[in-house]
Amino acid sequence: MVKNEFFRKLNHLLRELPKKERDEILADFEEHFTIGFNEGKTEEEIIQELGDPKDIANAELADYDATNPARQGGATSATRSLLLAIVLIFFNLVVVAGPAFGIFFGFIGLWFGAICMVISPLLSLLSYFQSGFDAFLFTFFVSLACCGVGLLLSIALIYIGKFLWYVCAGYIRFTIDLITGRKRS
Amino acid sequence: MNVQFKKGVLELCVLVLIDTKDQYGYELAQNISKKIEVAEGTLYPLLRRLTKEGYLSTYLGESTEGPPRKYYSITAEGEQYMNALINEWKQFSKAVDQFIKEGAGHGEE
Repeated sequence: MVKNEFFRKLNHLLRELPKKERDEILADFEEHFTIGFNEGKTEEEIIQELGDPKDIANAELADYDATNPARQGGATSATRSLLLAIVLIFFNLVVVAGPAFGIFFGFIGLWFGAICMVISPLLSLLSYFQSGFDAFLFTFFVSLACCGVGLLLSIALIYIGKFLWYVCAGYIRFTIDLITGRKRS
Repeated sequence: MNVQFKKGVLELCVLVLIDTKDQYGYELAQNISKKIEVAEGTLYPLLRRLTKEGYLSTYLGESTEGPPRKYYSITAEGEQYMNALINEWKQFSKAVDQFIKEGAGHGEE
């Protein structure tokens, strides 16, 4: 393990702490490394002496929990989580689920439309057998235009899909954070 | 040494060392690990807690090489706390010594 990795691990393990606290802790270790380097120690030696980031983080988190009554008391916070979860489930079923399904199926419908438009030149061949060459030419060129529009629509849909995915994932993460009472900053 | 046991005693050691002389984190870690086997990283949470509890205070001191260092010094409150811990420790270690002596003597008979 090298210095960067040590800091990355520590930072990750301390993610539940407010940013200010975390920065203070990391700054102390930054100083420790700087002095260690000045004394001719290598990254590995210093990290070896410091020990497992997990132990450091556990000690910090335990102290933080002890001095912050808001996060104390497993029972009350569990009840709070449960109540919040129930409220959120109802809220999601009643308010969020309808529009979300609507948007989801609308999105799928648009995809079907786009695919049909893209393959429409192939379908236009059918009109050749039914109504002769002139009609076929007309249908064929119209369908080519449709194909172009369909391709553009597909590209737009890919972007829209990505956007919907981000929104969806973000919302789910937000909900989970709300229930577990975790803070991100 | 047993981890839980060391944790309690370490607090006392940190206070005594800082009472003797103001020092920065790295220095303190070196001074302690010279005599007691300890993961130096876990001293920092301890220092932060003692500072939050008002037993230690910090200030930035210039250094000849590199950026200024964070020095820890003991407060009046910290000194009181330290003396209480020292008394507890003396009583405790005296009792333990006695148990060991009695136990060892008993074994020889």
